[in-house]
Amino acid sequence: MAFSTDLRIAFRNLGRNPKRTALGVGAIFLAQVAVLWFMSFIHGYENLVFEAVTGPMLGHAQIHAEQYRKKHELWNSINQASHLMTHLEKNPAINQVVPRAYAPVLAALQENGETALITGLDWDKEIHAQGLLEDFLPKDLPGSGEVLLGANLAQVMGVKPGDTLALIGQSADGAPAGGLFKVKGTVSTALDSVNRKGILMSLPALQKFLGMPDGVHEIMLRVKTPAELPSLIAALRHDPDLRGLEILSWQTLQPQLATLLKTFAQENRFILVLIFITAAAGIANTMLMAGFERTHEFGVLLALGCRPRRLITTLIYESLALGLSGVLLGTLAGAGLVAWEFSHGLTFGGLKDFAMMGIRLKALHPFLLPSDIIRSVLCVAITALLASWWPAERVVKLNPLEAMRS
Amino acid sequence: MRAFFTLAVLLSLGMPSAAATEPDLSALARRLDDLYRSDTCIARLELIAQNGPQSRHLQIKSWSRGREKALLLIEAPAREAGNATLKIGNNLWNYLPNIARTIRIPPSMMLASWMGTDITNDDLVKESSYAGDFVLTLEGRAAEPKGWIVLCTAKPGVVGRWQKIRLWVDDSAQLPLRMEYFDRRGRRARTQTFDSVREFSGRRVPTHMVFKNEDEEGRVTEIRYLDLQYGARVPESTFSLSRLEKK
Repeated sequence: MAFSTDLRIAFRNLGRNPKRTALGVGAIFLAQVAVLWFMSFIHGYENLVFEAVTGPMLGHAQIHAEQYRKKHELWNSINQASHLMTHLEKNPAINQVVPRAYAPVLAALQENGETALITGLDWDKEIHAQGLLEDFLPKDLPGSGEVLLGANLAQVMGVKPGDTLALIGQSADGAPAGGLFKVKGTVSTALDSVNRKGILMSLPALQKFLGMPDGVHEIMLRVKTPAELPSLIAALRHDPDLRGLEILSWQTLQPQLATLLKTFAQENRFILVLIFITAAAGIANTMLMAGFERTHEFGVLLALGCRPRRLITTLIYESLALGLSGVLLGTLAGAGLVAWEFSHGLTFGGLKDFAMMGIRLKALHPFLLPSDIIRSVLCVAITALLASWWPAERVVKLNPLEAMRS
Repeated sequence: MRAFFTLAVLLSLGMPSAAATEPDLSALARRLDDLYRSDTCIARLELIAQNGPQSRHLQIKSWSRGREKALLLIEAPAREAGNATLKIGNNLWNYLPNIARTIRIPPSMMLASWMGTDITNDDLVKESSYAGDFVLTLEGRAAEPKGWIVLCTAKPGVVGRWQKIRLWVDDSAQLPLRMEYFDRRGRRARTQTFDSVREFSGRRVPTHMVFKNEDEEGRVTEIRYLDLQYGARVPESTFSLSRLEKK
């Protein structure tokens, strides 16, 4: 009975001063929106950089012949790659198995040549999300005797679609290798290195050029759950079919990028803590002011015989009602804002080709996890409770006469 | 292909003297440089490139005029026959018969391997001069191989691949026996040995050279001269792009 009465009184108190109540709810609302938005931005940014880093070329892990990464010798390839890929695709932890072969060449339209790197690709695996050619339509892919040229390389060489390019390099056994290829089109990928020096060819065509049938230099793996990558790599290293091959995670392949991501995460956590503190300070300030400005009112209530404990209970209910109203509205608005941004994406101030370490970043899509909402609601509720505790504790020590004079 | 031109220098070395008198280093450097600039030469050689588990055997015919012009044509194996390289001054062109194209090698590929061997394009065009680019100092007698050790140190300001070359010459300071090449970081990057001295056009020269890449285990290039014709008739027209494509 006392509970429902106290609660009713608390709500009446809130309704008696709508401006103060609106101010309190508004402060909590804004703090909750800010916290949720920043959390979603952090998730989106980290995910964006992670996807960019591990996206088109690096993957989550790679398999090479031992020593290949050190010297990039053409002959040092993974043989019988088809069999190995079929075997890997059966692994339930692996989402995608992507083969690649590479060949440095001299590319020339006329007499003068430019250095370039041919990448042999399995087209079917590259035109999907996270592939090197994810924006490509099957009809735009090169056919037999055709290649795609990095947009910047094509510009430097003055090459247009339809031109015939001479490619001179070495076959896997060291003998000179050469071929004439028609340029199907130019390509602007997420990777600067491909745009500047890349020639994209079908994997079978490059295998023929290099004289290494069914050989590849790299098998890139994408896993279903990145958190399970260490256990997958450990298991693959004991797989007899992969004996003599090097299996490395993206963190080992690109330690500087892994460090960069870790630094980003630490910086973001620090900023998030600052935002939490700022939001909590705003809420606490509102609640404290709401309590202190009512000293006279508390004095009258005490003089009329109201017990301090009941006043405290009412104050706490008020705070919780304020806090939960604000946080509920803030959560609805924040989640709505994040949902809108998730569907539309943020494009770094409209910069079309914003790149980081040679990798072009796509639009940022902020998102929230259920734990984010639980954490922020708890944080606001605890802050509101603590902020109401101080004026409540003061009520206990209040002299009714002095309070009424204030 | 520095090795190839180095060999050309060596080919023109005179007959050795029997006395083991201390060599005249200025004369040695001049002689090496002068002999390097033989007027005309036609050579036929065998090149074996060992790279890890892989081995390639090439038979090459070459035409040269001085240090400025050279044409190298692969004659065997059949799969590679007709591939050719033309050098005129500091420029190099490669010709591949299967695509019938001649392409100039850009500066950025000068340190790339020539035809899959341990010889770089840069080795082909380099014009290092023992007298002009190096200071020669006598280190002393060598027991194995027997002869003299001469240290060639790059002169200050000279841009080149080698900081110093330690050269073993025979007692008469006429025939090189061994060379150790040290790169700009002071590391020994290549060791070259000479043997099988034969006489061509009245000159006694080592016809077999082995280049061992010290940076990479198992990477060795051998050159064996099968025939050398000094003073052979080599028309100027040999060194043209149109002729390159007709070879």
